[in-house]
Amino acid sequence: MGPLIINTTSVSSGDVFGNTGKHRFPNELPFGGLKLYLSADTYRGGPYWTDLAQNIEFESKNTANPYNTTQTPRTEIDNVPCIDFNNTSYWESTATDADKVDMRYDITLVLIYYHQGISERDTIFEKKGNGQQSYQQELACTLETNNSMSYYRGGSNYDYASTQAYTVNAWNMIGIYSTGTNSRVGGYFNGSGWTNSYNNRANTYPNKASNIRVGYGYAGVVESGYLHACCVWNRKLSTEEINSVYTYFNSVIPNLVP
Amino acid sequence: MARKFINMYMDHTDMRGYWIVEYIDENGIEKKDQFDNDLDATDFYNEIIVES
Repeated sequence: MGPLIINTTSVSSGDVFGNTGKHRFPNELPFGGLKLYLSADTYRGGPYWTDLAQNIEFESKNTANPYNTTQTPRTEIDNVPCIDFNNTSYWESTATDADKVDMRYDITLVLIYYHQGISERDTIFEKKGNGQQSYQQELACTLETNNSMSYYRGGSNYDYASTQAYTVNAWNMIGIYSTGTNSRVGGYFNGSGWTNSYNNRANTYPNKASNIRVGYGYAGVVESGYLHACCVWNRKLSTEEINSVYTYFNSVIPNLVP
Repeated sequence: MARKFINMYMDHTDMRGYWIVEYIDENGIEKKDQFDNDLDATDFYNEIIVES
């Protein structure tokens, strides 16, 4: 039997796909284990934003009743589609859908974020706390006023780490990972692959958290900036793969800061 | 050694509602300082974050 041809590519039986699979093309987003991919490329407005990995619907909410009247507007910055954080609204999945993005174990999170600087700390991503605070469970990521992002997970005595300072008034790729029961975390720095940077205090897997929130959490709603994409994998991407993620987004955002 | 910020949050334990700032002090010791309101906690946060 001849080889299987997809487009012009020959796929052999030795190629591996799935949760531990390796992507085939260096300019392609790694799909193995991709559990969440919110992309502003596919958001056209309205109160729902659907992820591309598992069709999870995120509902626009704000911090006071009525909860769905002032969505973060869709816009474009440097010709890049994005949602505009407006100090009012954020996006939230249901708790049931959040279970499809289990972040208790190994994870990689990537945000493509246009940073404008902030005057007070705001949480840009979290899984809502469920019996504990969000920063004591699966993951909470907070933008700091010194232009870095702190992130937390683990347990009552949670692990913590901070990223490098991001470039203001530019598109930035924020990438972090965590592996193992020691919740080792690290960031993607300056295009050099992963850099370990963590403070480990918990040594067990976190308890299961609840709803996924983008643009809001325990430290408040994001006041400014723009989001093009939010991706979660259920494993630590390899150095080659995280570099490919940068190459992939850099192909549509030429000035993306790694 | 400069102080290093860890986290800031409201402590809901026993419905107290105090604000907590966690940080690492000049000697590398993890500390938790308690504040009666968010404004005082934010002032302390602003001091530490510029050193981080």
